[in-house]
Amino acid sequence: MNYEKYAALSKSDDALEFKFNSTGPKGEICIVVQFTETSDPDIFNLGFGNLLQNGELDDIVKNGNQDRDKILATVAAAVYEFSAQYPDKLIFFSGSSPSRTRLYRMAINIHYETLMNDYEIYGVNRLDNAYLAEPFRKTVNYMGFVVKRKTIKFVI
Amino acid sequence: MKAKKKLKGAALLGVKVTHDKSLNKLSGKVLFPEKLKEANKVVGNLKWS
Repeated sequence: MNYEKYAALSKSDDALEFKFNSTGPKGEICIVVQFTETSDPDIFNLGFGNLLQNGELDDIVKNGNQDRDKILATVAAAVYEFSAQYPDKLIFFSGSSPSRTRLYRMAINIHYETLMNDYEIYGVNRLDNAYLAEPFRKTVNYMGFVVKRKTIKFVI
Repeated sequence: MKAKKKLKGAALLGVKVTHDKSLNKLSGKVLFPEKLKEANKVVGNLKWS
């Protein structure tokens, strides 16, 4: 993944919380990343957003620093760090809007070859009254994604 | 017995990670409750193809 990233990523002792600073026209904005256990203890939810001045987190509004790709690449670094510590856990993520989810799909597409080397990647869509996870396909729109670190690599 | 090889984290992407004790106070708090609610809806009803 050759995208530029923020070099200073910090984490909590349990590697569930991360933060880094986004810098740009709007100044320095702290981005917080959190992995939270869902109702299925094997699946963690990935959330990230801007830390506001009042201490609240906003995962909806663009921060105006024009560094979208750099932020996503740094969040990907946090995913690598989390999954190195918890390789058996699955990570679910989706955008806060359909356009953001599409953005995540595009990001996966761009880095597909690299990611496939390290992760099993699934796309999730609604199917009747349930949700169906299938192996990620580049051309399909999904409502969310699940990734799991590969612990054994097969070299052909 | 052969020791299990430790997986590489953010270093694989060239990012250095440092520990920040101030983040520990966030542990156990749900920072993105709406996202978690949505995730629980999905994972509670997730089928695999």
